[in-house]
Amino acid sequence: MYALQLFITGLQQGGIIALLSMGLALMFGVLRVVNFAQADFMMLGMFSVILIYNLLHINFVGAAVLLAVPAFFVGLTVYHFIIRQVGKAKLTSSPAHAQLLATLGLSLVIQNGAEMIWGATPLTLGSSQELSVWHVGALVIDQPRTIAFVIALGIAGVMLAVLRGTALGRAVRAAASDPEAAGYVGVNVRLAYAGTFAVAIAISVVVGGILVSYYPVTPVTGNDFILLMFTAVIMGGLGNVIGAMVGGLMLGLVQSMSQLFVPLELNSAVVFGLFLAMMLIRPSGIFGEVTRL
Amino acid sequence: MMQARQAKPSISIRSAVIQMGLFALLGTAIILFYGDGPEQETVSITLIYITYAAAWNIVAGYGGQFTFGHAAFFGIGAYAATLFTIWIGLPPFFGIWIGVVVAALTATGIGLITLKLRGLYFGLVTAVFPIVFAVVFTYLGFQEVSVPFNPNAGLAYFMPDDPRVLSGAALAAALLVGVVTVVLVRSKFGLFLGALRADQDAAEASGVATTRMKIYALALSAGLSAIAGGLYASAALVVTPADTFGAQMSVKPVLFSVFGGIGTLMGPVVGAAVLVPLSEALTAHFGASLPGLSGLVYGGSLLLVITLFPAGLVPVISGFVRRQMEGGAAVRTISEHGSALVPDEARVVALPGGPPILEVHDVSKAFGGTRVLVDVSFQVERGEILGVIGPNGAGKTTLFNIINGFLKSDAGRIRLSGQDVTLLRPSLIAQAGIGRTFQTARVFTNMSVIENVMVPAAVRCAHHAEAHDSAVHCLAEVGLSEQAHLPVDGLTTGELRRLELARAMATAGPRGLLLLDEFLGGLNAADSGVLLASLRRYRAGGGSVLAIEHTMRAMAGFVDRFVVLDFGKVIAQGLPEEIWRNREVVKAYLGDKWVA
Repeated sequence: MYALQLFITGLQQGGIIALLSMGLALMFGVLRVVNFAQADFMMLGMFSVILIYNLLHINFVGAAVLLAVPAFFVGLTVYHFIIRQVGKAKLTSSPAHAQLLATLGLSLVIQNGAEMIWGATPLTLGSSQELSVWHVGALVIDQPRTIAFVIALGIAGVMLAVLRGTALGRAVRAAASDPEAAGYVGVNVRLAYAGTFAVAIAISVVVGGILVSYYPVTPVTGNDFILLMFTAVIMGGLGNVIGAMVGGLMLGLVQSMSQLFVPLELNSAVVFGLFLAMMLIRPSGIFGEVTRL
Repeated sequence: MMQARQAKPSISIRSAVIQMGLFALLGTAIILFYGDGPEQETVSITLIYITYAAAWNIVAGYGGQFTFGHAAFFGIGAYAATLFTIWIGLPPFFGIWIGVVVAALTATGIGLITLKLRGLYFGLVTAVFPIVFAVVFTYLGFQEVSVPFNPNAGLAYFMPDDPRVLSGAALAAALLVGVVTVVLVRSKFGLFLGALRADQDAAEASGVATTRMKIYALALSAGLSAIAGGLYASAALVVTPADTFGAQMSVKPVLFSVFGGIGTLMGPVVGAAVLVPLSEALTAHFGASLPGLSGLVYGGSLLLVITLFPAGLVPVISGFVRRQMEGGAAVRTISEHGSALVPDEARVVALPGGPPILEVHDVSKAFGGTRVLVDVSFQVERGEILGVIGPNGAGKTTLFNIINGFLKSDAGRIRLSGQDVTLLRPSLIAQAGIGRTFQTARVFTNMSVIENVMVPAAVRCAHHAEAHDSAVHCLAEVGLSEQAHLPVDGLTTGELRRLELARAMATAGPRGLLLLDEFLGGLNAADSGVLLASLRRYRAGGGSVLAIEHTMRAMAGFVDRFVVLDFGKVIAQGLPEEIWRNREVVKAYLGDKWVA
């Protein structure tokens, strides 16, 4: 029963990591940009929802959804003024390095800027939702976590459906696999890049909005997640969106289930240890990299 | 936009002595100026970060292997210096060296785990290690370890009552890293690292054991980082996993090096010397009212530099100084190649005697369900020029990648002069005497023309002079002597091909085998003339050639024999005139209706 309880918790946490990682994987798959600041946008989403809740007293789900629109425009702005600019210049070996370093700088700016505004003490969403649980037999099912998980699953579903089943998704996938050829057949590659970047940022912010219902936030909360996200993305095969989802779910489960065997403090050591072991066996991830030739 | 010229890998002794001498003088002056006042702490920590960033710069800047996990080594240094003092009373000065060894060994382990990973993968995966170490060190009960205070502390304890001693030690450490960097960059190893940074495949194909180079560079850089970590322990007095193994400690060397100029000797120095005191001063004045200010400055300056001067500050400054001194750009001399007049040796038919230089025996390869090569067999006789032709998608490049070891075949054997090379790594196959060119020329863009050829020459020759002679000879062979000391980014397409050919010749040696992948494509008559003439001379000297082209026309009159590939199968082989009349070949190229 304890194991089942851990499984459920792990699945719920895995759902959040999965959705975050999918945003990161989408961005890498399409733009080849490794975004170190991705989880910091999630942190901004968490603080923003607390702010909106305190001002307007609307439900955190509503607040998170509301945030998607401004987040999208923030994403466009960051893409236009930083990522695209930096991508043009040539660093030592590749523009990918320059973009990655730029997002590293951005991450530091966001984290420390947030600390100036909100301070370093953890904030929580001051609502009654925090403690509500369902009892199913001996199992205790945390309501906010479940709601967050369901929403994460929903967003992931919509994202995959758009990517796979619509003309827009086809255009984005074309831009991802060969930007030059996609350009020749009429895909607006720049728009596809900007849109993808902005959508990935918006996803991060919305996830933050639903995560804050049970997870306290500090300016460096993103650091709890970013390495897990990269791990999930690499495990799934760099740039593979479905792979990232599977990787994220697996990480959540391993994190939670490992408590059966090792002390809680060694949790991350187990997670990353397993990850390294996997990299030894299958360096290209579970599903292999989406290569762009 | 400022031209982001890449740092030249080689540093002249004179410029190195000037730069390091200035740094030593300035460092000493600053240490003496601040005496034992509180500012001396900022001086120490700045010099420690200079050491750390310069150590990172070796593997990332010169080797091109970005790591985001150097805190693993920094932390090991910090803990070694502290824990051995606590456990066995060993002063930090000696503990540091234990840390150096442990860090280098750890780096070797990390290198072995990550050796298959490239570029971003490598960088991201290395980020995991310090996090794991932090968790383990916390679990083992080392959350907060104080550096033991010793009232009679001598020099080996860096004399805590006089902060100048620690600063002096940090200055010495920074100079040590500088000297190591200069020696390294000027050595054969530095040349190989430069090749690895520019193009791992081309380096491997030139005979450079890139995996080993990566591990050496990582271990060296890790050991030097541990020195910085050990000194940091004496500066901070308390060692915690979050401080020493934390993500921000992995980011710092990246930040300082990139800010100052990655892959330059003084980049890490300038970066840390500007940013650390700035951030310390800001924290001291506004830290209470504006938490996070120092991080904001770090992040903001990284963003600014990356957007405005992606190569960092040092190249901008040195570029400015050079322009002031020279007063104008050097004019590139345009050489003329009177190559069309090179005598045309008579066609030499395969030299009798000895085993064939290359035997390809029943080689097959499939990607997923697609069979790209099916039981391909043929031989290249010693002294022969063999052409492999076939339509697009016939499997020609895959065949080359299997012969030189980039890909492993699913079945079949490959022998070079009778010796089985099927399972060897590309660098070993190159060393065995196979040089190759790529479909689109892949040269080491961060080097001069002659350095490009020096890479394989240095693999082949034990002594620098010998390697240099060999490189000079190979360049003369392709008519690039006059361009020898130019950077490669100004070369024409034809010159790039000739450079690649020279590099392949230097790789294979005079009696080796050249694999040429569509090397005549897109060249004008003059350039192809030069290439063909140098190939004939190469063959006359005992070398052999295997060349891929789309069409027979390009190679007719120059090859001795053809092998025709279609859909991964050898459909014909023989003398040019035989192939010309072969029904299968006509069908493969033109379709059924042309076969009368």
